[in-house]
Amino acid sequence: MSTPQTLVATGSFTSDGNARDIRFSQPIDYFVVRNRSTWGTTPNARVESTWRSTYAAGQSTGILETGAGALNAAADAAGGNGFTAIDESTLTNQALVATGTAISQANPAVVSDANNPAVGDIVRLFNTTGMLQVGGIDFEVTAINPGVSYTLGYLDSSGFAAAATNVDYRIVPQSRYTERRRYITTITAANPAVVTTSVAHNYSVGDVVTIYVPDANFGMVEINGLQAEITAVTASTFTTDIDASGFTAFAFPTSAQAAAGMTPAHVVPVGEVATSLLSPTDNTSVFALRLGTSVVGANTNVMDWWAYSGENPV
Amino acid sequence: MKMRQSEHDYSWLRKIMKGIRRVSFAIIILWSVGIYAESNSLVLNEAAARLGQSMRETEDELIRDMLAGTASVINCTNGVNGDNPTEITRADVDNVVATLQNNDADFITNMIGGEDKFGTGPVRDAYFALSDTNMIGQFENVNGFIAKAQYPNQVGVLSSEWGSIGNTRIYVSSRGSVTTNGSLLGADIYNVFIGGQESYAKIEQNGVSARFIYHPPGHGDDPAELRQTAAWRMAQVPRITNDAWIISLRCTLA
Repeated sequence: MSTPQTLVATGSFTSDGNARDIRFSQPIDYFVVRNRSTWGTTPNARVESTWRSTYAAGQSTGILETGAGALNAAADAAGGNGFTAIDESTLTNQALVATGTAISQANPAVVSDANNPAVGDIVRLFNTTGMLQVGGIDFEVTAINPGVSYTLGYLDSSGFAAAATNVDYRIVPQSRYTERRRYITTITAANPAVVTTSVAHNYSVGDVVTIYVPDANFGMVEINGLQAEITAVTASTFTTDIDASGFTAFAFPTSAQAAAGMTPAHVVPVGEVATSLLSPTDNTSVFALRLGTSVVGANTNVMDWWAYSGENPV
Repeated sequence: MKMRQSEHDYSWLRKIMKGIRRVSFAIIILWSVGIYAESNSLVLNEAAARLGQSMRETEDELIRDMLAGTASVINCTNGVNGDNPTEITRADVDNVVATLQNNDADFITNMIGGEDKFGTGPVRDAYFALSDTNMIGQFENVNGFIAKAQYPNQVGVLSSEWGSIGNTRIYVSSRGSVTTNGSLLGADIYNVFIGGQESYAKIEQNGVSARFIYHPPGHGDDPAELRQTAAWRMAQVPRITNDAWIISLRCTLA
């Protein structure tokens, strides 16, 4: 029984030797990547690799050209450095990493952990003994010291009463909708008020947001429920048109207050001055295939690929 | 596509549905006339029914995810499970209701007045509370919970409604919103969206409103007239219209 398959997309890239993602507008079921640079040149290297939607993460099959034109089967087992399908419409949190030993009282805060996330990852912290006010909140990793620590670039914990003596984390995928609710780590009591979020916010100048500080333990309750137009942005901060110079200073609750229950300070996008009804509902989810180091080719290799849809034959 | 054992065996269809229901805005089913020569109408009917279900579920999930991503939040803090947020309590529900009232949000359903029936009680004017089926036991433990069966009458009551607490009426779905590993202790957070009238909307896009599309054999690249397809397509923008009128009450399990 034959199975109809349709070519969804084809392309090529020059490899840098590192894993890379190829994005598609729909799910794919079959993928072939061929190394144009090494094909037929007896390189003793993988010259073609294939993926099917039935494969486990990291799995691949392929052809190894070993010399004198000899071809041999090659494969990566599940969990290897082959292909991994990515479907951002069904993202799940990654496994709990429970090896962190401390969060510093510093600006920015630094987490001591032998198992680092990567720069740019969003981590959700748990079991932050001694610093419970940051538990359950998502933070962006802005720097790492491999095997030693990682930095939460948008958290100023220098005013906290004590350092954390334990911290666990999960990497949390966050890309379904651009412009979404973000947690606030500080607001300046100034004119204009500048808000810092725990991760890159992706807001734009002209966006209208509502700021929520519903818990008195955060201090600046005067700003709770106020709408603001954004007048300037950096990756993790935005400047509002609110004069907060007379407001109570913003402060994180203490660890004990957090243990007793709190609602985090947060901001939600509610509109835009220039492009109403656009970005807060922009679903940016993608289907992608991650090419691991076994199949992506060596540095400078030119790789050709073909992606197909259609049920795989059984 | 695999050969079928029986003309009434739709397992292949279910398989395809499972595989493709994650697609947000278009789903297609393809089958061969040669295989289903005697049962095409049955297959088409089944496909149409499942596609209809798929489209509406997808629509609901897109709205759910929009609410989860952009609604303001209030944590349950009055429970005793030691987490943050805690399990849901009456004080937490009343806190959200008071906040919505202070923001001039209108109730969605009217009061159901008391009637002369044993075991029933009046139901207040209410906001809608949309949640996950795993919260059913939590709701039933909240002080003042009234089960749907205890309403004075069932006029206008939906099948997904589970009961009421104070000025909320609760609707549950197995596709409710859950923030996995979101609490202080790493437990799943259940998002209960409590909203008033016109708090959110979906806006259909011109020219690409929801459509069921059927192509008979011979359509497109099918010279032997062996293949037919059925599909749905839609494009819409779900959107909170007034963020002061809907709140995500976040809870963990007791």
